Amino acid sequence: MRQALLLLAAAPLMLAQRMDVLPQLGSAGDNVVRQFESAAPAVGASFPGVSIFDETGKPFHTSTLKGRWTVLVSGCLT
Amino acid sequence: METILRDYSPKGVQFFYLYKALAHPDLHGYITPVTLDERMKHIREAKRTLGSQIPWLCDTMSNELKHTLADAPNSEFLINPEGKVVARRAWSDPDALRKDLEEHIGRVDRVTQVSDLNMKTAEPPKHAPTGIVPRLALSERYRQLRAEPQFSKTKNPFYVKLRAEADPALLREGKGKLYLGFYLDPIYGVHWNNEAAPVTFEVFAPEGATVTPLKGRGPKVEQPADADPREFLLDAARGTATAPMRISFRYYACTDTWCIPLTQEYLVHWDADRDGGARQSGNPAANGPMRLLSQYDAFDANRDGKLSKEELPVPMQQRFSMMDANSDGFVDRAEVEVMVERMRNQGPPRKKR
Repeated sequence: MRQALLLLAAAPLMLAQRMDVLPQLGSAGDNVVRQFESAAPAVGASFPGVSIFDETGKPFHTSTLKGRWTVLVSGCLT
Repeated sequence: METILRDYSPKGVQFFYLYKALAHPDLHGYITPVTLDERMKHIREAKRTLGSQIPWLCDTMSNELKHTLADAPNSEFLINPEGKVVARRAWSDPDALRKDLEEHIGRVDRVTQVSDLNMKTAEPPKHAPTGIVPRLALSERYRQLRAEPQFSKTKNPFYVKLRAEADPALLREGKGKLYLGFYLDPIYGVHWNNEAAPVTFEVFAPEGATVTPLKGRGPKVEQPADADPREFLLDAARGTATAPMRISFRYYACTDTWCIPLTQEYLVHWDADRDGGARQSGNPAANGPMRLLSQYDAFDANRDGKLSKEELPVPMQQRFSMMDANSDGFVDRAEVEVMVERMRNQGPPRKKR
């Protein structure tokens, strides 16, 4: 039952967030945080404009995110 | 994240996952795509396995947006309608994100629970048995080298992909170990046909460099088919070389209905690929849940036998709600043991060849 609950809880999250890929303790995770804090777009800054793709492969520019509140979460398949 | 989507999408908030370079190549058998079309296949695979309704965006093959966002593998941004960053996190934290949205958008009348969702998840594909050919046990300190598939020399997809890695000595001092791993790409449904000739490779070292051996051949395997990578550990010295290595490999790409011989090539540079991701450790104790279990008592600062969110390192805190299976506000030893057991059941540990 407990395992079932765990799997259910994990389901909506990205594969990158599965329990078997928890960020390792120590320097690797810390380095990610440090680099992010120093180099990622700061609170109050404009989100960068970059040409990427939508999920069908069509060009998508991040400037088109304007006009609505947006949540953007980085991930991948693993 | 899906519960937040259900609660705030009706309030006009748009949600996106951003696909970029794989953080953990080889995990669940998936390997790094080399074309945009393969990334699209990965996105479809992510939607299939997760059952999520959140749409995806896809970074360029050069991972331009990932680099612009400081490379964090699982970062999170809340952006207002003016295009300004309102909140950001190096590690996505759904609990904190919900609080942000409550502050900026407002509370919802009823918070959606995971149990309210009817998400249809699925397992990663498995086209042939694994755990048949022993894996090499490598240090986590190996780093993937920058490699370029030579598309101009083949009309076929790279059904098998090369992962080339260097140990710290090779990267720092120019002399050390070079790992070559040939991985079947599961998105093509291929397997090794062990009744055909095994994979062979040849390294064409540039002038000034030496690699030993220059040629290799995969093992003879008794089972008719499998999906384990073919791995080799070579000695390499960069010497005065500035040009990349050329690595050619020949193999049979086979499904249950067809089998074709292919020769394909990569150029492998001598520097680490910042988008190469982190290999799965050959040491199970280094993986998250096992490490959490092995250091359980050390994390339990107040000695109450259970772990509060505050007692965990920051990178783990954002996974807290997922670890806390019974939602009592604490992670206990039994919950960690379930996670460890699940991880162990995913496949055999790597063995030293």
